[in-house]
Amino acid sequence: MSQHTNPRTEPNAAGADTDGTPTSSVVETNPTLKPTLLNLGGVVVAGLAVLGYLLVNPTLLGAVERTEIVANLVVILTVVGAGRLALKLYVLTKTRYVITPNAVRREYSLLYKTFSRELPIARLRSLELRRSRLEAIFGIGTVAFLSGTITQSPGHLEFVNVPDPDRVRSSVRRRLPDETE
Amino acid sequence: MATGRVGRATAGLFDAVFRPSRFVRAPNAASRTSVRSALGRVRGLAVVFFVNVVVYATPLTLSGFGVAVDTDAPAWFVPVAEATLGRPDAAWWLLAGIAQNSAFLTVISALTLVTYHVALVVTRSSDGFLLTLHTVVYSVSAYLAGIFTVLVFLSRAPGFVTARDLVLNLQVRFISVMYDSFGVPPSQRVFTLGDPVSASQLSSNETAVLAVLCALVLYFAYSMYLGARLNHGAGVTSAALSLLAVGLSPVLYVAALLVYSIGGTLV
Repeated sequence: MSQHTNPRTEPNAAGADTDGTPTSSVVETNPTLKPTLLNLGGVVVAGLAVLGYLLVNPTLLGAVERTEIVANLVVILTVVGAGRLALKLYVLTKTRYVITPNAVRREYSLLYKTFSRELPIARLRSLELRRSRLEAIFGIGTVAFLSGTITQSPGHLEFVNVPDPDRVRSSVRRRLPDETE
Repeated sequence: MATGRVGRATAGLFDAVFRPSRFVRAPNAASRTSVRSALGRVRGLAVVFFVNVVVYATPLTLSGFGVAVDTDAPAWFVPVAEATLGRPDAAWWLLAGIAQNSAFLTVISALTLVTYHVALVVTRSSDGFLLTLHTVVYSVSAYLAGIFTVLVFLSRAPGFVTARDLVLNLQVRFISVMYDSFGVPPSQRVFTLGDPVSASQLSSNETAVLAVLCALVLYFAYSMYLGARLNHGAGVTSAALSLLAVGLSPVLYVAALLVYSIGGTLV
């Protein structure tokens, strides 16, 4: 699992700007996996605990078969929840966040396909730093970049679970045109 | 990110199971759009609903479920069918069967749409009818159609008699409560409550299918809740009230049927 726990600066790393011209990255980092791993563990443990309790007390809901229905339901929900988090974990291990002098970029590869989304810094309208309780405990956060007016539009990009989010944000903020701030 | 119809359908199915929030969220959600843009979105959502209803109803029709069309294709349909589909009678049988099998789903969807949107408007959480339409179309197309598919499976599969009786008993119990509420005399009741079905006779397969049914109901409720929260920006209370309104849809549906068919009045 090759992930970086801290943002690293790679002044000479090769990259490409929005117009395709090669640029060097200012900050290049990967999301940390800790919150997702913790959530995954929580879902599995909670699911197994409820399932175990139901199996130990088969007449908890009256007929054994009624308890069996609920136990099956718990299995389904646990598998779906764990599957979702496992996939998120996999995507996070393949994700890279890059800040170049002119753009912010999120890129990941999944099943031999590569996805890359980039927003030009000059077009950013706002920067947002969010920290959930879990993210605060781990010293990470989510930095959102918005170039449009709608949070689900293509003009919206997030660096999720990024280590040292203050540094990431200030790195972009320094490059913003004056009127944006 | 998925491209192509198959890719989008696969991604949609994946989202429906693993990421309901992404599945029901309206992309580029804007409460105020031009009439032309709004009409374009309504058309797009209508296509999504229509395609999903056909996908749901076609296998049922082909297996002979719920088809009560014995007549030949009408005269106006024959030249159209001959030019496009080939055999007019078979095409008429198929289309009429699909229409019949999707009628209940369509009626419940319309009722859900109305009650859900009214609840959002009353709680002053509505950000526009289009967002409600988007939520209902996607939720109904995936989860409600899934619920109906499981119910149809239970009604036809040979090894699921107890599960079928249990579900039927639950529905009859609900209708009996409605009969009592509307003071329908026993002589006019179409459904009568039989002996309670013991869950202890359920096989392992039956408990598994009933668990899937419960999961689909939970998914449906959760997707409607998410639709209110994400698309309309509703608060927890408003979203819960909207969900409650959706839960009341079957009550309204049965009440309307009783009033229409027997002339019952609420007592």
